[in-house]
Amino acid sequence: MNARLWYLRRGVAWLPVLACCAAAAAAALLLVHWPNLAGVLAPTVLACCAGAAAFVYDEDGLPVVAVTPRGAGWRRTARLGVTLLPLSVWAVVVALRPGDVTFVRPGWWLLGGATLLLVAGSAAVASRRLVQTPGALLAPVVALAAVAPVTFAGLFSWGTLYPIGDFPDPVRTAWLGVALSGAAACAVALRPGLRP
Amino acid sequence: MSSLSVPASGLAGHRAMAGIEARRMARHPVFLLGVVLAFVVLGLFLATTKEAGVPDVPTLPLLGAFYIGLTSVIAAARLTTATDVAVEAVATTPGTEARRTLALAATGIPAFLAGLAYSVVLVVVAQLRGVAPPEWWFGTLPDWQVWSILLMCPVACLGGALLGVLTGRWLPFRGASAMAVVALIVVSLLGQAPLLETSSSEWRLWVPWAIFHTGDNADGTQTLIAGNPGAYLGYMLALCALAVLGAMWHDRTARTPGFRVLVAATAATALVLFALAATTGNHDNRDSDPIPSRVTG
Repeated sequence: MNARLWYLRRGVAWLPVLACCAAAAAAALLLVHWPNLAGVLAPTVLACCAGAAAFVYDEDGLPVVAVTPRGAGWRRTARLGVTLLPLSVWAVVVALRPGDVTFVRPGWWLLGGATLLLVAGSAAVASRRLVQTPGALLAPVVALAAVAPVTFAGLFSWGTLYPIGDFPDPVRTAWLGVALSGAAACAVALRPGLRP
Repeated sequence: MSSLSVPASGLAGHRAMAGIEARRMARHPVFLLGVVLAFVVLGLFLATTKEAGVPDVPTLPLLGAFYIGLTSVIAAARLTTATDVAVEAVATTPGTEARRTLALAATGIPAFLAGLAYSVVLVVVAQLRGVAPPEWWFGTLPDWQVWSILLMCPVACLGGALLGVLTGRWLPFRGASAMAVVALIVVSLLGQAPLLETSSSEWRLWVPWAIFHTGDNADGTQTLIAGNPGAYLGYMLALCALAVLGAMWHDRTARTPGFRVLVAATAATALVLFALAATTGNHDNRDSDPIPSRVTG
């Protein structure tokens, strides 16, 4: 355990991870002042948390460390634990319900967990394929993707992926699908070795 | 074996550099993904709408601006920082950083054209399928206002790419484009949403993307929000120019007295256009006649 913590303290790109978590907290504060804009601000909090998860696998020295005797699998497993940080930020924001927004907590915890699992899994797959800094591209893309469903609201009769006040079963099913995709990506990425 | 020959200076050289950057942008996967998504979402909306005509046409440029414009921020920022690893080698070549930045501004051309294609498709489909008579559209609004609202989409796409260049030049750290995308969304939202239903809604127009149409209200009406969309379009173009000049400002050698005057004049033009957008045009929010099929409340 000590070896993992030592590695994480020195190996993780903490600056972008913590900056994204701070941005998520700032967006949550905006939610306190403008709870009527929760339909966009809550996905923005999620976008920041997802951005943080995207940076977890950034490692400039990847070609060197990937071939050390300890193995790339150990490194990727250790880094996956860092995803708990943005996940905790998300869990706390949903639990506190800033601005008294009526989040259905289990549903919103599910959608946040599913998103972060998928993002971390995707970054881990990229790392497995020796992409040194997957976060540089993945973070802006997932930030945009997290907010994109907001544009559907009002346009389509099937409703929103970010329901407030109620969490319908079809939305839960959709997010469970995202969670399963994330779990599959993590399973692929955490196998020992490099490249498939 | 092919060879690439770019003149070191002059207009021909700049044109060649701009062409290279425009092609890099047009082939960038993130930009292409945004273009595809914009048209797919528009197509889904048109295919699933239950009405014979196209509903809420003046709100639909938002889809193009969101998907094409915001992915252009990411793609252009990536292209701008792509040469950072070789900055020492590049710095020894003829030409300045400002000149390379000006060439990078050509990344806005594919973005603008994609946004323009989106707006053209929207107009063609609306003309073919028609719109409900009370809708804010040609006939209920002056033509120049409708065209201005439609052209906000390509100009926003252009602005997205130029904001990406600005971000890449000044914020070369990891995640800068993610920060720019999130900031753009939050600023555009919080800058206008609290004002939309107030008597001073025209002062929302300082934001880089302002809406002029609310979509359907519960009583079947639609609200046209105050302000001059023509002047606002000019304001957006002035912001685009400021983004290019701001990116070029990064090069200290470019900050000549003439360049400083140009920056000041562009900033002053943006302020004047903002004032015009806020003080002319429609002075108050206007509700359309109700459309019976859209009454929900």
